[in-house]
Amino acid sequence: MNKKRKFCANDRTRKDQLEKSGRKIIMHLDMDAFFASVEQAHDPRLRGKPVIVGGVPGGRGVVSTCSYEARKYGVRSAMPTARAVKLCPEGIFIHTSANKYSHVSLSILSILNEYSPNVEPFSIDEAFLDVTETAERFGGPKQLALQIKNRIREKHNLTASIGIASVRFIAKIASSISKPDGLTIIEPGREKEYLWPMPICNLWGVGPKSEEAFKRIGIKTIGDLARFPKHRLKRYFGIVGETLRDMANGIGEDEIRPFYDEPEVKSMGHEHTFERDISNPDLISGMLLFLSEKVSHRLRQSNFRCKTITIKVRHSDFRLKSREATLVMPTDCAVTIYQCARLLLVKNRFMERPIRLIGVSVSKLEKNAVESQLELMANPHGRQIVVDRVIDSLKSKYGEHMICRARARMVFQ
Amino acid sequence: MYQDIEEPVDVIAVFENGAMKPLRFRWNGRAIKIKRVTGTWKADVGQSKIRYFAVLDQASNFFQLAYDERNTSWVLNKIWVE
Repeated sequence: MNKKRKFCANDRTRKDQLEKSGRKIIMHLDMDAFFASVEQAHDPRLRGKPVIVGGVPGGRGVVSTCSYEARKYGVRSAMPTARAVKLCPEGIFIHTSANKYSHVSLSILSILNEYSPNVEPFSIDEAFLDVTETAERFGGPKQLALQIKNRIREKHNLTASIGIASVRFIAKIASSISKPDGLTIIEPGREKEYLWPMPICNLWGVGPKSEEAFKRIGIKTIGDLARFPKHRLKRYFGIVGETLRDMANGIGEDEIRPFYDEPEVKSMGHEHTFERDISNPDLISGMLLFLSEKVSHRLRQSNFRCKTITIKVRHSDFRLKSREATLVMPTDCAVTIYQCARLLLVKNRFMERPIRLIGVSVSKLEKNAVESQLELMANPHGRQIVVDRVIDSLKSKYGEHMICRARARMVFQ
Repeated sequence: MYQDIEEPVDVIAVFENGAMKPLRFRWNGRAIKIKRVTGTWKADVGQSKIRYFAVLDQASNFFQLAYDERNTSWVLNKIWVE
């Protein structure tokens, strides 16, 4: 059922209009500077200081998140740490701690689940909620949002910004309007008032490249896009142009996909950035095997096999190249994935220049059938498959880093 | 800045409301009383777990402690030094 076409119906402006409009009430929660805020909550001496989470000075990592104090110096997410050090030499640089942030994130999700059965985790620090059926019980959408914000503050000493609208992307934009610790409600009928003056880059799906393309044809704001002739947009940008124009007119998706209804995984992969550019073929192959083992372990854990194997390489000039190959038979064997990845690496002469980053990913996934002994014997990598199973059982008992093939281990020596 | 320590420590802890809570620990010959636990999280290591605690002492100095369920031991991971 598509409710989004009814969008421009009325123009009432009361705060409770969302509830009475017959449309959905979609909430987007975005934790403020999440990783940095968790660090500040755990160590209150960091409050008010420029905290930068990600790589550490001297390393080659990138900034994952930084506190609002660090943003004043121009530090941003995904910026190389070396640049962040230059911009903010007095910054406090902290290693990312995935377990720590996941734990807090899961705890926040459990709070959200108390307010709606329809919670969609969107990333580690963002979630959508459909509160259409439950808002009334908590005194309306605004009261519900305030309760959630208070619960998060009480339990974790963290702030969240919340946006409420009748479609997802507007709720997401709303949550970014008054960060940090914000709450913005965009009532049905008032979307254009909020959206149209905004620069085009604020629209979900418009990155720097499409922003440039839009500017070339005179579209600078969301309002410009909303009024631009549809047939011309289709000619310039295809179906994407039409979809973005619909969004600019407030038309968007209002379905929330709870975590238990997640679409099936389509690909999985791992990558590694070396501390310095690497030319040694043994080290590169060792890392490739290490990454292939990680990917194959994940495949087996999720009971998948893959048909397509992709390698990704970044040389010192920062250009990213990727190549893929498709197997005749699907596999979850680490050695098969490694051999295919290595062949791609050699065939494309990627090892002829120093490598900064290398990655292995797999796609075209198929659910794994139970392999019979006969199939195992017929498989040219039958012995390796048995080794994989032994490695899996050791890892599940003693931990992820307990065992790997010797060639893969050498990269860490 | 944070300084990695990774030294075993003796800890007195209680189980409160179904959760483990460190109260004091001994490090460098000094008994440190924990004023507040500011954060807890855990990491799976195979079938076992390491439980982490971000704690503050009476003077609000930061310490990170870890309890390793595999060998029922405590480690002081890191401290904040000016």
